[in-house]
Amino acid sequence: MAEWNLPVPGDLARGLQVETIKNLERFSRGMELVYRPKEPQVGQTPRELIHKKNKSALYRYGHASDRRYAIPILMVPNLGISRPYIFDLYPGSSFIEYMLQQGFDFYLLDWGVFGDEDNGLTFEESVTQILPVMVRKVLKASKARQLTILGYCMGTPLSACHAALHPEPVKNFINMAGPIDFSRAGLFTTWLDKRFFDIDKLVDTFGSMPADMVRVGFKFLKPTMDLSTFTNLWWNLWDEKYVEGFVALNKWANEYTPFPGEFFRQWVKEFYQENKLIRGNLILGGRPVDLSRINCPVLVVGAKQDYIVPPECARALIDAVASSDKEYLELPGGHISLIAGRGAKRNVWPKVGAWMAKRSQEA
Amino acid sequence: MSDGPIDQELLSMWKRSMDQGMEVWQKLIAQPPAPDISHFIRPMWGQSMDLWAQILKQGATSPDTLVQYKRFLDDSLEAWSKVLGQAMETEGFAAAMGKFMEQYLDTVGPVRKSLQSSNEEFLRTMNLPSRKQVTELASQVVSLEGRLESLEERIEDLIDSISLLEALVKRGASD
Repeated sequence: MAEWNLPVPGDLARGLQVETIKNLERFSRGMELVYRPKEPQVGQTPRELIHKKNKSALYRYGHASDRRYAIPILMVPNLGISRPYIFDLYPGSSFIEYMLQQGFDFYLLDWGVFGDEDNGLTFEESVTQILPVMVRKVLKASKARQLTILGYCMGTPLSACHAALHPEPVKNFINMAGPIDFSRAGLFTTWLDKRFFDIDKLVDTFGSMPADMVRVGFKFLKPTMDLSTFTNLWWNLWDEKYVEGFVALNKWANEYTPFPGEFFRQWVKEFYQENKLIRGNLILGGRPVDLSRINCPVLVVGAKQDYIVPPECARALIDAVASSDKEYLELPGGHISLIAGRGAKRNVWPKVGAWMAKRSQEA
Repeated sequence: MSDGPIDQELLSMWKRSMDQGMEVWQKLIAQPPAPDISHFIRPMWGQSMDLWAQILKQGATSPDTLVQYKRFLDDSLEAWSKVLGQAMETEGFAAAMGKFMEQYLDTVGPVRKSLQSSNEEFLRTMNLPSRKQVTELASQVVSLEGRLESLEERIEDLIDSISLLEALVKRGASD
């Protein structure tokens, strides 16, 4: 028979008291969330618009007096899927704010939200027409000859293609959870296989990849994610800081953006279905994209529990480039945990910052 | 409401897609070997039982029960996530999803087209611009913006070259 360890009455009373208070706080915060929801203030770091090209905008963050490094950083995030304010979520939990505190001259390329009028925009045009202009603008604004490119998620293949076509101005290249070898891209590799997924039919029907379908695709990847999120919310509902973070992150996580149709067609066909980037068959602007032309210092950061871009999918860049100075870091967490949340601030940002600091000559 | 040709067409299209859907699902279900669901559920069930036994052993009246319960929820969700993940990474699932999407597009595509054309017809009658026309106009604005931008860049490059030349001339004169 099982032995029952009944708690001492005093401990039990204290424990119950603590739990009761927590539950009351849970109840009151829960009510507040439902009946008086506050709009989270995201993206508060001061920034300046440097250049705008159609929907895409280039922003420079922070003040000149805080910049200690001569080499500017251009962050290239994903085009479509979600908005880039995840990198500047709220004060104290912002990747951009952290990088500014380290003294970097930080630029962010916001691809923007594309409409039906942009359905003709391709991956090729993004790499050969938008990125080169943005790189030139960064160099001009910073009066620098070289820059560090930091690609996150889909921003990595976009910027890696650019770096392979124009390696000269790239002083350092960082891949944070960006897919390179699409044969190892987890569930998406299986689902988007050309035997099962007719990309032409989808794009021909809708003209674009609608935001709702993007949402369904990502929700399917981890169907229990919403349940876990809300279980954790209920558990931490008494904690004001947690709720503040949740509200901001939840706003971002539910704001999906569409893909321009032709961009999505090329993305699925040439990357997921034909894996041309790592195979060296990709041709953009009439020129082959050869990743071995990248010979600057390279850092690849993979996330152990990343189910969107599994670590081995991102790691492939290390073997593809010709750089002698290259490093691979595999850190705990998922795809988003690299860029937002307490774990990112503790485990990821200091490592990325230290790596860049060593390779960005002091002004 | 009248049974116009469009309504009839839509109805028969819907019927056709339902029939096709049933056929695909029947084929999928009949495909050997059928997955053994108990193979996935058994370890998860065993894990849950162990956890509950542990919770009860530690004293069900303790406030720590909540902590244990949260852990139980997390573990259960993780286990479900693994089960679903294993099912979803199979080619059978990808094929079923692909078929579903194909049927969906077969149904939605013609409906969208017919709605678009009737909307356009209506807007034309009302002398209002259609979505297509507005999109075309926006595309032209985007293209114009692009041209302006490339002109702006050329002017900037020219100004840079002129100032460089100016500096060179000044240096030459002072030498």
